[in-house]
Amino acid sequence: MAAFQTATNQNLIKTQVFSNDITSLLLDDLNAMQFVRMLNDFPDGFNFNIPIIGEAEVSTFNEGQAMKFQQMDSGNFQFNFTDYVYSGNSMTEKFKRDSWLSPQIIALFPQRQHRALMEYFETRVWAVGNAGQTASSLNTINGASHRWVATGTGNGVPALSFNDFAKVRYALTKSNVPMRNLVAIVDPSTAYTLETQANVTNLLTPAGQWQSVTREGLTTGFKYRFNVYGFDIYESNYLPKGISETINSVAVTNGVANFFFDATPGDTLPWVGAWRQMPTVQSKFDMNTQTWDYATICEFGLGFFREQNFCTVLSSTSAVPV
Amino acid sequence: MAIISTPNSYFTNSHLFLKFGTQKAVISPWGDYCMYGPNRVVEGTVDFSTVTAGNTLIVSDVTFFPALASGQLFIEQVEAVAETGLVGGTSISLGLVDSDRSTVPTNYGTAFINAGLTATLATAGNKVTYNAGSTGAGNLLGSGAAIQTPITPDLVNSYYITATAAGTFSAGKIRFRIFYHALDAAITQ
Repeated sequence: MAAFQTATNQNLIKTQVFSNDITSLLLDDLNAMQFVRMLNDFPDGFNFNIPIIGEAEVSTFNEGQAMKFQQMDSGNFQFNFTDYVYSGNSMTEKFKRDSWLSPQIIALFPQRQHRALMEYFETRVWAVGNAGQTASSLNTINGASHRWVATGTGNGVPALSFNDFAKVRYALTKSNVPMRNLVAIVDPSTAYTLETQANVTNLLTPAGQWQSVTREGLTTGFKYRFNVYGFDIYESNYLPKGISETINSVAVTNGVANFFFDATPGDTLPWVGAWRQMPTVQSKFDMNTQTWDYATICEFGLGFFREQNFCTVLSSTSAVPV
Repeated sequence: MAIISTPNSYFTNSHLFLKFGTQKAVISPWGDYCMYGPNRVVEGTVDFSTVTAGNTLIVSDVTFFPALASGQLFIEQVEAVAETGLVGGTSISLGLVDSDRSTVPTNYGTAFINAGLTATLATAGNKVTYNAGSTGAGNLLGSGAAIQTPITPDLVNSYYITATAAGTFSAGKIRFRIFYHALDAAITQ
């Protein structure tokens, strides 16, 4: 046979063909940055102090008798830099020459490094919030708990319920939190437990938005489609996990911390933060090792500033059946 | 000895003492007189029927006793006047607690009055003047409250005034006056 055949001309065929496109990653939303009050007046030094002055009190005046004067209580929030981190990658000069993908990989370095730092920042914000409260304690303020195990049950373990949203509102009101911009950051498992609650799925004529839950689900992207008890609700995979606590005789094992607070901009926010060095890309060619080194580095601090404006509800990720 | 907690209150991580609701409207009986003359005077009353046995009450959340550098402040004397006689208990003390509302430096819990006997203030109108060396005189009479390293995160250095009850009192409202003045020394700050 005179024709070219695959069977007899395999050296003329590329056995492996590679796409010039590098597959993108599936990345979740990062939310924490917007809830941190970033301080701009801390360009140098170790400790930053934010004074707080308390309230005046009332005394009885007796006619003709001298007044007694009083001071006011004061507080001080001390803040410092907590994290100095970088993300670095390198590539040898030989690989750079040899690989047709090397320009695209190098182009990805700053993007991926910045994302890594922002995911770290996100995780740290939530971790600082969780650490700001006392573990295994109700963290009571003015008689209202600010940390508890979720009151619902799903799959036999503690799961977020609507009662928890109402209880958060009670706690924040008792702490004089303005409650004009309520936000909840919850684990994705919570949407499952709320969507599958009997009173949502069984009611034939539930009102308004709830009617659409069985049709469209509760979430879109990483956000609930509508407010629940006044809360804008964001889902996050970066919340502190693996928490085993017993609060007020209620235990949760391998739990996740769901956070609730008022996000009114200004000094109401639960967190303060500051950048000493914003994420900065630096690179060099190392002649000795013949490598191209790229790093993105930053230094920042985070502090848990306003514990009154913060509630944690611990739920179990096992609330969603395997 | 434990500090008696205030209802509807919260001490923040920033060491700010917050009160909520009606607790904000409770009359504050303590303060510093605007005094011309040899001494400054802090005055206030304590109802010892509200001070549980063996425990300590912070008498005011807005009246502080100053801490100055050594040799700058002198506590001259303390007066206790029974407006309602003490009933029950064995003795009373008047002292100081640090700004964290829990740390009591050695002997500061009895800074002004150290176990003043109930019998001396058992009848309305009884008055006891405590000077250094007299019975029941506090440990800081004749000296001053020391500057301590502020309890983190506090930056200010001053003390709350406390009252401690030994035994259970069913009645007894005592007016205290603390007389103190600055010494003739160069200021250090």
